[in-house]
Amino acid sequence: MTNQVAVEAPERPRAPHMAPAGTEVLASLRGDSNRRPLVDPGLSGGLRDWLEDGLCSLPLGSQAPLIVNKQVLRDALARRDRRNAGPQAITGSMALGALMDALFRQLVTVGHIDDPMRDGLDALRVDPRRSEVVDFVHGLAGQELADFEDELETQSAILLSRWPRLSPAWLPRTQERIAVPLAGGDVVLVGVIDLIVGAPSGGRASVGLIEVKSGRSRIEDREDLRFYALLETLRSGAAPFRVATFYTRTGQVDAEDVNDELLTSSLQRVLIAIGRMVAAA
Amino acid sequence: MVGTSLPPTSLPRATSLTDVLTAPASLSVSRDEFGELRRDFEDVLRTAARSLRAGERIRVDAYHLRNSVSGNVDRESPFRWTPWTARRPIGMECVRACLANARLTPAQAGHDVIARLIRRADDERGRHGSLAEWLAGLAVGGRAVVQAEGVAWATQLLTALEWSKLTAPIVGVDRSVVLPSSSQVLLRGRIEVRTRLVSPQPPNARRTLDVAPSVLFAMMTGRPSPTARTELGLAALTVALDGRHGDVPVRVVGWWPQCGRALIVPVDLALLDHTCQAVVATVRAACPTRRVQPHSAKATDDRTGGRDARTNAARRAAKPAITPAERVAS
Repeated sequence: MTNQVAVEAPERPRAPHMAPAGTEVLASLRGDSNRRPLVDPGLSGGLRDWLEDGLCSLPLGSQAPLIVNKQVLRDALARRDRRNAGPQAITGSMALGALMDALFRQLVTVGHIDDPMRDGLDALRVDPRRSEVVDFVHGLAGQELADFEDELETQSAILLSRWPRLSPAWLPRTQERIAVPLAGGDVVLVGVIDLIVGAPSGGRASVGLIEVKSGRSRIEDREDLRFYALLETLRSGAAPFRVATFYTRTGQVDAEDVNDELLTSSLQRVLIAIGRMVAAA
Repeated sequence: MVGTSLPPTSLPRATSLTDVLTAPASLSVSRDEFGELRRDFEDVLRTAARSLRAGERIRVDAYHLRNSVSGNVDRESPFRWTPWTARRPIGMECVRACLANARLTPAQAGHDVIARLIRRADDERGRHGSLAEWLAGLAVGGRAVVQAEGVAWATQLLTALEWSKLTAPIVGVDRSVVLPSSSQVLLRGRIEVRTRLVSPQPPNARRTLDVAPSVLFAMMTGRPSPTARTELGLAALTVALDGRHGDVPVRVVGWWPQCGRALIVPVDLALLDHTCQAVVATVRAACPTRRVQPHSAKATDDRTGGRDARTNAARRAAKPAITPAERVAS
């Protein structure tokens, strides 16, 4: 989950406007099930060929593979060079995002959140890569800590009230990793998707991808999900039927159906970004 | 890059994977052929293991093979339970439960498995380092991460195959083999599913089968590495070496769900021989300062009681474990 806004007192939808038991959110995630398209059996292979063709003209290095994730794409397209920037310092919004990410996963998996701060930190403690976030939160004190806890509890309350209980038959799986190697392994497109629902396709689009964001809605959020839709198509051979972002700050969902145009626009974005990265190297 | 993408036009993927796993086999390794290879392998492995210190034991699994072949000399950190090391054993339990009860989903099974493990921790009081003990020590947030990882893993395996088409599938059939001739070396093969082919049997006339031949399915992490074929070969080798079954599998299918790639490996003498070389190289790499010379014909003669020069395996062990031809892009 990515967050680029500072932790601040947000405007919240008032409780009376919230749909009961997350039905509104569930409807947004589902979309119109009658419109789920048949899988074009040639699409995935065609997209892969297109990518391979685009990459074969680039002078890719023969050393470590070029790992391309959503942040790398954004940086390349914005012409931000972070190769020598070193590790990013943890900020309040990053820590909040990490905790909300963990709480969302807990809610989907076990169905409840007891104490947002305690549960979230316990989840991060079992991952050695998240120790900096844990240390950051432990380093907060006074008003900073109070504001942080207030925001975390507010967003957790929104999550609990708005997020629907998913049927286990949807096969929900969280933090699923995708890694698509291209150009003989010189380029690897990677993503970690907060939630995937639906059984693998048997001929009709059947999988939905959901991301959770604790920050404000940004235009790039849709591009992230389109990139993930492309990854899922390349991996599974079938495009997902829908992608959605759930904003824990407001409880709102931004969803769109996946179609060929969405996938090809994402593919072109990927090729442009990789071209810039290679040129800058 | 190594690996064979399944036909992208063929959906669902589970059908394609099941079809390639259970397709009739065109060749197989006879017991006699494997017996000869095994003798050679044990000879060379015994020599390689002599350079280990007394009491030292080494484990050769896919991870060690990969590091040995790729020259990765990073110091290995001691094993510890994390959500990522726990996901497979928990996921495996979930898959077994779901196969036993068709109405159960991975999410429900994951909850049951975690609860059972935590209850078991009470019974295992004093068994330090067990998965159950580790889980019992975690708070709700930590357990949720472990459960989520296990459920995701189980879902990947459950949706990878058409289980109703498999003949007597067994889930979680890892093999650990210690050869009597090299008791300091533990070979470990990781196998998610083992099943048997129904008729027709392989048309290998020399083979006498008392049971239908077996095929193996391994679900791997990440994307196929250049050593993937050897890693899958190790799974087949450990099953073949395991005296309890006495059966050389005819095929191993590796599946990388994170990238949607499969590698279908027929088990023939070349694969087993190649894997044996890689195992020997890994054992040698474990003790580089005391490495024995594989070209020592005298040593081999001593070992074999004057048998004609070096064994085949000894000759082959001098070659690189991975040939350039294996680095084929799919």
